[in-house]
Amino acid sequence: MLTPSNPPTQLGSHVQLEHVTVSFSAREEITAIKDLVLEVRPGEFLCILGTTGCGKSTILNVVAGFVRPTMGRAIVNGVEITSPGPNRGMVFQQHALFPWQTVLGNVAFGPRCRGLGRERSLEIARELINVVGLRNFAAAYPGELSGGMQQRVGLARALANDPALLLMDEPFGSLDAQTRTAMQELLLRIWSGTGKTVIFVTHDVDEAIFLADRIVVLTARPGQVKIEVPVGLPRPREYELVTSRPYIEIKRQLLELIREETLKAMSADIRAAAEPASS
Amino acid sequence: MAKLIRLLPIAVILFCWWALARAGFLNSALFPSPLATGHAFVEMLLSGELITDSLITAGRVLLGFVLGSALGILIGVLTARIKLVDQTVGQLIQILRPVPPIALVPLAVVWLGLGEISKTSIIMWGVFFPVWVSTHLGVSGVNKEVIWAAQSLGASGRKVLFRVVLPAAGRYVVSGMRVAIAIAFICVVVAEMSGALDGLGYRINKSYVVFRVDRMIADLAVLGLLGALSDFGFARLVNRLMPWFRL
Repeated sequence: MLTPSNPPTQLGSHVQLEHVTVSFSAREEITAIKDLVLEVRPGEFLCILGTTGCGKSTILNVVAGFVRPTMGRAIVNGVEITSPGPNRGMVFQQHALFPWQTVLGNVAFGPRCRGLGRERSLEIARELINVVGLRNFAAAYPGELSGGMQQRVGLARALANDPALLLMDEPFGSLDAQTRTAMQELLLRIWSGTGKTVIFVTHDVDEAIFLADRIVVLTARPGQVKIEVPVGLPRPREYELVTSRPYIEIKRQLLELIREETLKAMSADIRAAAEPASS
Repeated sequence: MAKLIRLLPIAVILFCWWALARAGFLNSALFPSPLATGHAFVEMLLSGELITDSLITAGRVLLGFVLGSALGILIGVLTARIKLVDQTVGQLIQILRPVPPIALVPLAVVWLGLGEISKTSIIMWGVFFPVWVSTHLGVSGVNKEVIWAAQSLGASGRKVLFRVVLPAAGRYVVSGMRVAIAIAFICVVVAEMSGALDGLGYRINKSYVVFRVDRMIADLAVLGLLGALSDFGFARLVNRLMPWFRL
């Protein structure tokens, strides 16, 4: 349903993170993720769930090719990632739209960069703008749109290259509750049947359960996979799902794990703070 | 009505000016009335000298502004993007920056003569620094994620520079250029006062020598008008070329 001119099903990307460590040297060395092993199957919708600062955005930045791992490697379809590329679409937390271009110009940017002609690029862009329901705003500038609309442009822009892998970094985190729900349903509608692999980062448990095939919970920094929870809920999913029994069972299980992890991190912090005083 | 209110301050000043001159306790040679000034204005307008001088001054401002801005943007992009350039050229610029363009006039005349080159150079000097600073800050402050977004959409290095970095820095560059317009007018007058045979600055100085205060004031008013028009025209141009933000 995404781009009717293309065959509806393509094979999503296969993503492997092999013992990836990412350290930044700011004032002191910060290890964002440490020895992370993660595999995402083709066509899978994976949600990465974790607290603020656990390095979940860093994982996306590595897969996107924005950040090189300090150790280990990220592999997409058997090829090691060394730089950004149009086979991996990214939707940013703060949308990162080009404010100097119209909605149409933003969405057409990818196809233009890939050397598709102006006409073909605009055609693709218009199609996607329709899909995300912004037909009447094609000529508007991003600064004139609401947060939810901006993020829909961000989604359309990422989809314009028809990437087999979609990376989403808390894209709905700053939206109000109603808009967020509508965006989640829109995303699932667009994604269903495309076969694209999605890695979606969030700190919202409900969002993760509603969207994902599988949820990976990260430990506090440095981020490592704490536990994986498959979400066996049937698709297509509508929002009534959130009050069903299986949903609530998964949520209970998840919340318990997260709480455990948070408490562990807090007590570690408290111990660390107490140490200099005792020595 | 709202437009009339904008004109009110000018009307008030004109009235006070007229009343003061009319009161008669001020020497009319030192303090000509609005009418006498208007008379001088018409006289200069009819002789054609006012229009010639205005065009010459405006032309100098435009040339120096365009060249100085172009240089400022070019060097600003280079110092912001290439560390080595920043450490060498950037350092040099920082040292030269505090030298006021007015202080350079005698040197410019000695080295470059009384022709257009010396005047253009003075204006370029004044225009260059604010444009360079704002371009440098704008380019080096471009949001990392916007660049990433372009790269992940398949943009090459050159495309990222021309389609993302430069437009993103645009509003900084433009605000630097706007500051530079006012500086360009200061520079042109200074340059014309101390080494020229035409232009509004030269004419003001000449009127001073022959003690024609009415002509001086008329020329000053025209100079003010030119400056305001330039700023207005620049804002219009920017709004047209960059419709995503309003100046």
